[in-house]
Amino acid sequence: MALALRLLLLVYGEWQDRTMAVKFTDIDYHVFSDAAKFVDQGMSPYQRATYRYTPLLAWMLQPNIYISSSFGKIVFILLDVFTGYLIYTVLKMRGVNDKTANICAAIWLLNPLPMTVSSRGNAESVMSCLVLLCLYFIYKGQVMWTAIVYAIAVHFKIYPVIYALPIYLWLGNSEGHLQVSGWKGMLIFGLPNKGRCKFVMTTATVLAALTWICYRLYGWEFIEHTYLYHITRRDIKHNFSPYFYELYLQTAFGDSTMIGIACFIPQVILLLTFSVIFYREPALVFLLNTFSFVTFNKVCTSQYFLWYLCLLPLILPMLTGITRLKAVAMVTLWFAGQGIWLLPAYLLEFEGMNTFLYIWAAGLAFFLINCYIMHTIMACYRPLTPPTLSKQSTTQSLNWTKWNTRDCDSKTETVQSIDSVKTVTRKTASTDSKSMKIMPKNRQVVDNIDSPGVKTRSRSKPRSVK
Amino acid sequence: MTLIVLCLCFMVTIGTGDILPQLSSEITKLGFHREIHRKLTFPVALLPGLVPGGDVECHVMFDELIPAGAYMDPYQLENLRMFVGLNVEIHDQVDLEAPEFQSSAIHVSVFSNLSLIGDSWQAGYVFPVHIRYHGISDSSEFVRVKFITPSVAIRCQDTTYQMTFYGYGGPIHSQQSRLCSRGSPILCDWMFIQTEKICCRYHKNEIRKDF
Repeated sequence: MALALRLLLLVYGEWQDRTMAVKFTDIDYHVFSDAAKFVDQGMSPYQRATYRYTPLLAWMLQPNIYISSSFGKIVFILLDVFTGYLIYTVLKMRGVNDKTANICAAIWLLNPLPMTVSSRGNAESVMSCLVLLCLYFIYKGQVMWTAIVYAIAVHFKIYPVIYALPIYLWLGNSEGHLQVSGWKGMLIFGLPNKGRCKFVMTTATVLAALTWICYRLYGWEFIEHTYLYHITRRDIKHNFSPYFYELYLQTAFGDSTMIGIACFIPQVILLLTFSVIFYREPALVFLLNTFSFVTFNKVCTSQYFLWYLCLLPLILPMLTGITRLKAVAMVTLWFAGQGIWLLPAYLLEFEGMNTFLYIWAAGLAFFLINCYIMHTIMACYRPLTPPTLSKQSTTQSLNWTKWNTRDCDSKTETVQSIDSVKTVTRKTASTDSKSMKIMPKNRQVVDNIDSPGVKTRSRSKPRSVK
Repeated sequence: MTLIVLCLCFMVTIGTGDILPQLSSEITKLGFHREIHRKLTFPVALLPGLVPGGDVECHVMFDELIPAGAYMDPYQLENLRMFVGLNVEIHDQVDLEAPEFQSSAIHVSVFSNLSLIGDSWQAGYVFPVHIRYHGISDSSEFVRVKFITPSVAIRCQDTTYQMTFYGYGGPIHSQQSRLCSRGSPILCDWMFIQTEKICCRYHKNEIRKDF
């Protein structure tokens, strides 16, 4: 049905393009198609102004010239639908039941936003597919394929580089968790092992090969348009980013390199923090890293939202600590945040009213809303499989409970969790005053998810931890 | 923080005893996305050899200079060419994303045909322009973006003998060899003519609040 809806939109889009002055097709699709024409003529795709993508995309769309101008849209639609299939598959691999997995996949497949985006010819579905495929191979334990897909994703767009550290940490010891004894333990944990070496070497090889091939064909302009432009980009036009107004005002003072670099600091801190703390839940850390990256970025447009929206269905079954009311409130807030920004932006761009301060204030409000959503996700996330712990280990592990019980709606669960933690602490306390804290092993609400989190919360019953 | 007041600057030049074609201009829409309307009206007396269905064909070219504070989107123009027949030749590179202080003016030629409406020949077009982001200012909330009245050229051709027809009856500024039409590699003789600029119309963005 998802495929049919998208194809229907495609047909409608073709009709609208032919009959109306306002086009349905995304302007970017014309950019890709024009670049494909240049490639067909033996020229560089970068002859097309504003083409800032990998040449692979222009090569992929060669059939636009020989078969149909809609070929690229069909490819994007198929990848979009495949993303929904990957969501379902990954959830099933993680032990989520069929009904819940279907619901989560449907949240993506029947979502009008990705549906419209892919039907209009936007290439974001390529990235969604690659990132989900990477997660699929991570859960499958296939390191080489993870690395290959990851390298292709980074080649297509740079932002998947934010997943490097969590993947590296995930490929840690056989128990897959961090056992630390101060800084020494952390350093030991960070040392390469067979899996990590394989991942790093394969990623580096594939990425280097792709980069070298494209560089040989198109020279420096490939590097400049595909990579450097996105790194050095300083967009002063109004966008959701809380930095946009500062960057615009900074234009009066010439070089804003230091500010541009300073803007990266919160992003880097968050990426490192989330990677270290949540690497045991790849879907969650991918989502948080992407969410924080987009929220704290110097430029933030609606297109970027798809980067984390495709990951959201993967963690929905684990948000058992959130009430339905709160979930609806968060979704409403997220849309409302965009709405309060869109109004002054429209007034500025199409009515010529001086609404710069309003736009900036709305951008700050949207920023705070996104921060609140991230906090809620972290607080209410319950992993399906609690992190295992060596019985012999008396070293301090990560305080998972602390992260996901505080400030969540589930007060009962919080109490249960703390009681369970105390029980475990008594049984396993050692001379180390910083005792271990783990999630209860046999929490029914975690093991038997038959609907998105909110329903099961009321039926959960505490059990003592043995 | 700047907004924009758009203005079409004009000169009124009327030669004693000369009949001049009239050029009217208008800017519509608000905000960063505007449309410029141009209409040129020739009294029939200025083109005595031109009759509907006759052997003589006349074409008009408008030489526009888009200021640095604005730009035209070449890809949008290409779309308009296919959809509404707007023929625009952009002579300079256009950076769609650069702000005003990193941009320069863009030279554009718009080609149009003449149509007989009532007792006059008319040529005109509507083309979209987009305003660039301007630098910030401490002193004012608005900045003026001036769209200069275009230079107008005409060329006529006798289709039977494939020769240039020099039957234009009004005052001429100069004669230049320029592209015959959009995308054409062939050069033609164009006569740049004097025009009477009819008082321009513009829209001023309303100030809603002081900052």
